[in-house]
Amino acid sequence: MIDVSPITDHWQDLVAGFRLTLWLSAMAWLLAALIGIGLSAVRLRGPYSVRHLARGFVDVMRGLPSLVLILACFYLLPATGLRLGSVPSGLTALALYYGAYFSEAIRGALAALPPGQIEAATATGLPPATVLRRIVLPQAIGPMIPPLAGLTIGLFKETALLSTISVHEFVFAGKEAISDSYAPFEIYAFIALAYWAASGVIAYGAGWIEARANRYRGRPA
Amino acid sequence: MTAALRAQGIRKTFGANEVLCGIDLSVARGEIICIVGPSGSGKSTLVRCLNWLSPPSQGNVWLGDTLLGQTRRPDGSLAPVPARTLRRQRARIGMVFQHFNLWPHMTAIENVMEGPRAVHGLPKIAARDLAMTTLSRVGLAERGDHYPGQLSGGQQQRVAIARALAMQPEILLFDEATSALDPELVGEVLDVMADLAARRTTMIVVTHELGFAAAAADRIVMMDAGRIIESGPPRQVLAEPESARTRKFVARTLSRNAALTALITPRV
Repeated sequence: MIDVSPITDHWQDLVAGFRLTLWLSAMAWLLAALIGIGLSAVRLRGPYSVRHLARGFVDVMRGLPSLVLILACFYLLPATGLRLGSVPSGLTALALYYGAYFSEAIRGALAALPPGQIEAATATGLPPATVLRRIVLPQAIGPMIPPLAGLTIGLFKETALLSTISVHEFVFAGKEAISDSYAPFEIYAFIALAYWAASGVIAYGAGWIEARANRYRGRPA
Repeated sequence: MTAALRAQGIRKTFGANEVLCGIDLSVARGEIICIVGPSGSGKSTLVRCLNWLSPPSQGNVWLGDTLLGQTRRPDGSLAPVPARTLRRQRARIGMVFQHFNLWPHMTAIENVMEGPRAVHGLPKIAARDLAMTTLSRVGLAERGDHYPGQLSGGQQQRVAIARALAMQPEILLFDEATSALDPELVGEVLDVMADLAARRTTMIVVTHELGFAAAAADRIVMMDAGRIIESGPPRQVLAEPESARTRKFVARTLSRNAALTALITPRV
């Protein structure tokens, strides 16, 4: 029988840790989305040199383990005179890292749109903002969701890496509870279940959005 | 009278490849011109130059009195017009594509409404009325609420024609509008086009359908290797072509039908 008292004894701390994990995920996600949108816009429409710069940035991000980037932001940025706390530097690292991946997902979905779609809009005389809002995005959202959902779940889980730079998120709170209670099995099992459940919620939400975005497809004749 | 559309010295190069080698073409108001010619002769590239979808490397296009896509600097040289101006000019030219290019996430009526709403600023109700009227002109009044994926190729292309018509363009360009269709569905699209021709809608029609060209065109323009090699009334170009190239092209196209005709015509 599993003894739940190590969990209940540290409930407050664990919940606080989980809440910080959720908050970190949301903030990092928003920043990554902004970076991703900016990068994909630049890579599709920017001047030649900026395009390559963005591409280089994405390549570097994709070639680094996220943990290395987190440690680099935490230990190396202060050396350049930029003194950030552990939370801001952790957020910066995750946002940069996932921003690069987000941009790939966005760019892929936009590039997959048949060129004729935009040509028809151009020939009609629609202004670019209308083309984006009415023609491009409604068709690109659906294909964008599966890769973005995977990345969002990845980002959510990898906030756990911020425990290495002593951000008091969920895993950090768990470790403290373990050093206090000596019950690693119960507490890690609880943490694993919580991550799993929350990831499931994200996946479910993404599936719902995707189904809605793709509603116009697959309508039988 | 000024021409509805006039192209002068249109050249288009892709790298070292010259696809259009100086095209002059003038379309009067109410005139129907069919452009025919073998694949790769530059027909599609030409119509894409005519609405600046693919701006020519050299040459000018006038839409009525408007110089399309370019403006004259004080020193007399030409510069591209601002994007806004170009959009206003493009809205005066309707285009029907080979692959329809309907917007699949919008119903037929929404496809037709989009341009009038976004470009002409029509209120929703007026745009819907206009779209409905236009859809009934192409025989699809009952299909307004269908998505493109629920329509046959022929119906989709008719919606695309309605989408172009709803902008009340001064001229309609057709880029092989029936080439992507099942042979059975070509007729319904050609019927709509013939109806437009009968109402003297100014049209430039790139087509492989010589039958349609013979019946509907005021003038047939034969292109080969980026040049206009012959131009004139259908009877002249199809029946008494001046150039050997045209004669060969027409004969080859007809022989395909001739074999069929010979096969099914009862022997006397």
